[in-house]
Amino acid sequence: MEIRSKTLGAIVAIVIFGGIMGASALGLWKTKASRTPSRIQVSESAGKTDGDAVGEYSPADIRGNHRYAEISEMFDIPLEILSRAFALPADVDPATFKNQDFDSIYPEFEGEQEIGNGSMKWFVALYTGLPFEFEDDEEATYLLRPAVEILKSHADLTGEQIAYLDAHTIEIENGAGAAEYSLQGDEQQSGGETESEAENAERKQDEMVVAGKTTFADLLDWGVHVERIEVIIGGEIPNHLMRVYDYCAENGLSFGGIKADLQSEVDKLSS
Amino acid sequence: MKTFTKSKIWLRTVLQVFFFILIALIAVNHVLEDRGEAIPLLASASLHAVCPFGGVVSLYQFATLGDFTQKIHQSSFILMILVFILAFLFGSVFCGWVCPLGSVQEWVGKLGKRLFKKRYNHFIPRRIDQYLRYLRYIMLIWVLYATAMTGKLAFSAIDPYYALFNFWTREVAITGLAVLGITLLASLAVERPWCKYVCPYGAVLGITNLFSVFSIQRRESTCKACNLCTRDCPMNIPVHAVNVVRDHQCIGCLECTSEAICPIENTVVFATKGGR
Repeated sequence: MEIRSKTLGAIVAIVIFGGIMGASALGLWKTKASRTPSRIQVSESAGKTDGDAVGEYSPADIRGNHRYAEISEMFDIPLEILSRAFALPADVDPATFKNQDFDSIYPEFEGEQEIGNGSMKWFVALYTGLPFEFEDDEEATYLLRPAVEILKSHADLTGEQIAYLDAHTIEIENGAGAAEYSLQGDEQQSGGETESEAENAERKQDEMVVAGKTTFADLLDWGVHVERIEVIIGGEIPNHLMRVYDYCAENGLSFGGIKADLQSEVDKLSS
Repeated sequence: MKTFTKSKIWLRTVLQVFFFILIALIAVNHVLEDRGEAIPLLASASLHAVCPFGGVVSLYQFATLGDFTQKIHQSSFILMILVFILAFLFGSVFCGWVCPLGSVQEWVGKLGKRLFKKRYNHFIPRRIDQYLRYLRYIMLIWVLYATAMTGKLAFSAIDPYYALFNFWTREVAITGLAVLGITLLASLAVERPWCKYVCPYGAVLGITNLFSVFSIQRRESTCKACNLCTRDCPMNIPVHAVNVVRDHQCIGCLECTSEAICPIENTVVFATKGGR
């Protein structure tokens, strides 16, 4: 049997696209990982009893690309709690914020005292009482003070857990979550939300906050002179669309220090 | 005497351009999706999700742990199966008709043909070249071993295919860009250098050339031994010297057949053994 080029071309296209369509029809064509964490199959020791925990989502499978809104929904933790626990700035939408983006707003929390995906897993596990075991970065995983306070007031912690939390707490001064916080019941919780919304509205009126996503173009738009920016960053602006955070990362600069200096320039403009 | 003019396998060019544009758009849409600006009705998968080789490198992990290598998804497995179906029937046609990296090398090679004329694609002495062609199997073994041991895409840091469609993002390793640059530069002198000497996926598919249902057949009874088929083969296969091409390097492009370069009707054909 002989085959001509037109037939071969048609067969190639039909097999590839027909196969993809067939796989889609059967629900087999998946180009993205499931965003749903695995469920707990064998209960660990801590927290809930075996019967309670089995079948629930596993905090250990929370991923860097999970949005806070997804974590809130899957683990039944109010979004407001997550936002406060991780001190998200007012200009960050907690619903769409991803774990993996945390270091873009707080790059200083990396390394030996790290706030990252491990912190979120740990916080969720303690908050919900679901079992969770650290993998290999236990000593480096920390929580911010607001998260620790939330856990102490809400979660059913053992003395050992409280001592461990106290040894792994990072104090924070200017974050959104630094506001005094206590959670004693749903009533106060909703009151807290109202207060926070008011705060957010006020802050959003003045959006000139230097954060991880701030670009040089933003700073120039706000009125900061290019000369002042270049003095602070110690060089020329390579690209106006570049994020200040990325510039610092590429040039080995501390984003925290640069951010503070730039914010000071921005504040001078608004005062 | 009538002058023979080579015909074009135009449908192959159409499919190559189509798949190149499709993959480029998917790569762009993937980035746009992250910004919440995805183009509607167009797939926004990652390049890894639409690469059939991802399925191959995930086989070990899938067999032992039941899941996929990091960044690889079920779609890679589906594509791997579909391409294997094509390969069992027709050999490495994926390389010659679909793979965008192969197409780009071919297009750059057209410039090389103008530059070097008859020397193009004949720079490397055959005695050396014949051994270099097996380098891609060493690459294949390394990629499969490293991926199985680490559970990560060991190949991605040097993958020119990934670099080709993501060079404008910050996701590409500098080594990937370097390999892409070298590949494109080498394409000026050698046709499909990556495919010939390095491509681990081409190595896998090339094995199917040894037993595929269809293959290039030369009918000795009508062959005038003009050697045009051999001279025009992008992979330097001596088509004129064999009756059935069972070479692991054949990409099934059909450029050697009577539809293209062979001047005698029904003499070099793509057929089953003894088929007419």
